[in-house]
Amino acid sequence: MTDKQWTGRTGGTRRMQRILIAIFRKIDPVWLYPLMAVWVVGYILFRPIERRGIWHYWRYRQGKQPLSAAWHLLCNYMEFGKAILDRFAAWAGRPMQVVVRTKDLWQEMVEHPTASVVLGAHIGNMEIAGYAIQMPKPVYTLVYMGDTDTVNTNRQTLFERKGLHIIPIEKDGSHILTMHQVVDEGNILSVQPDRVLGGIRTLTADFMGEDARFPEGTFRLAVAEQVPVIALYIMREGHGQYAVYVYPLSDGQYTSDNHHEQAKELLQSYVRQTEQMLRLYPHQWFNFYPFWQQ
Amino acid sequence: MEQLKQQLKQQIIDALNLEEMQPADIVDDAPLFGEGLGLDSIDSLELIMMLDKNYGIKFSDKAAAKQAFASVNALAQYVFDNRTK
Repeated sequence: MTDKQWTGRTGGTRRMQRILIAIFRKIDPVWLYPLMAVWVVGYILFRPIERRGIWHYWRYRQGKQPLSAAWHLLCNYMEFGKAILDRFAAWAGRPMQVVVRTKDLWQEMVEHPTASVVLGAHIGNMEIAGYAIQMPKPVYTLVYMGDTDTVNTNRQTLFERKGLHIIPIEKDGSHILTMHQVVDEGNILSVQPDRVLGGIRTLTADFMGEDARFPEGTFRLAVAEQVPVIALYIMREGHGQYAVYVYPLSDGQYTSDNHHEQAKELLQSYVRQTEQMLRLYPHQWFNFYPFWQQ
Repeated sequence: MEQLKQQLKQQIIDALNLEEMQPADIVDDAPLFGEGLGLDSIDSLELIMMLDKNYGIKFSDKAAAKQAFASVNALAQYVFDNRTK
């Protein structure tokens, strides 16, 4: 990965992030929205990789005319800024309101006696689930640890309080053994398999009308373990307010008997469900890099 | 031990769908990952599950898995020492 490529890190220095958390202990994040708007404009102007990614999403995948695409791009960035501020607010101890929209399916997921694999995406604010919902059984989540210590420590502390444990992504791919152990022991494994980091093996699927690459490992693991697979999305609905959506993707049975083909089958279900969620919340597409050109 | 090595080679080929390979193509002391057979982490998952299913082997940590997957020789020795079925 060269310096000019997108790194997947939360923005800001360690010091800035600590100051933000300290501020949110005293004041509501909404007071920082005007400042955030200025930051967003600067971010759009001076971060071309991220801008190009979101522009492609609005101009070509959502099919908007240039002026309309530019407006939606701005809204997309604002929505992302608010989601990030909510994350810092949660670290500062501010409560988030989370409503489960698909209650029966959620109940089924958390009470399922065997292991399951939960697939999220970088849309909405999945991390909020780890801060706001007490998990009834151990949940292990795969996390990119390239962020600053401030982000990693706060994330880990709040996650642990709610019964959510982190599996760090390892450069050599050895986290796949830990993922297997977690499922083998009957726990819930949560992954966001919509980002390709490094030279890993990928699967290609038509996503919003254009081929996109997805990391094969998670899908292969899910089908090989023969456990139920669920899609989970936490979407932002307002100031500190989130909605949880749960959808079954697979019961662990597939039409093909080849793991590679089964993984492609599962990927199809995943992309269709993620597309549906983006139709409901189009401004919460938070893959800030040229997703379809990677 | 020789029989176990041949059995493991065939099981590796079957688990990873290496249709163009024969057991004789896999060198006993060549690394399974990287410059040897060229396997990656997804392949390691398939092998871990194959070893669990056929020999009842569960890896307790990454170091143990790394040691076992060093070569067919190392894998055969690991299976010999740790198999439960």
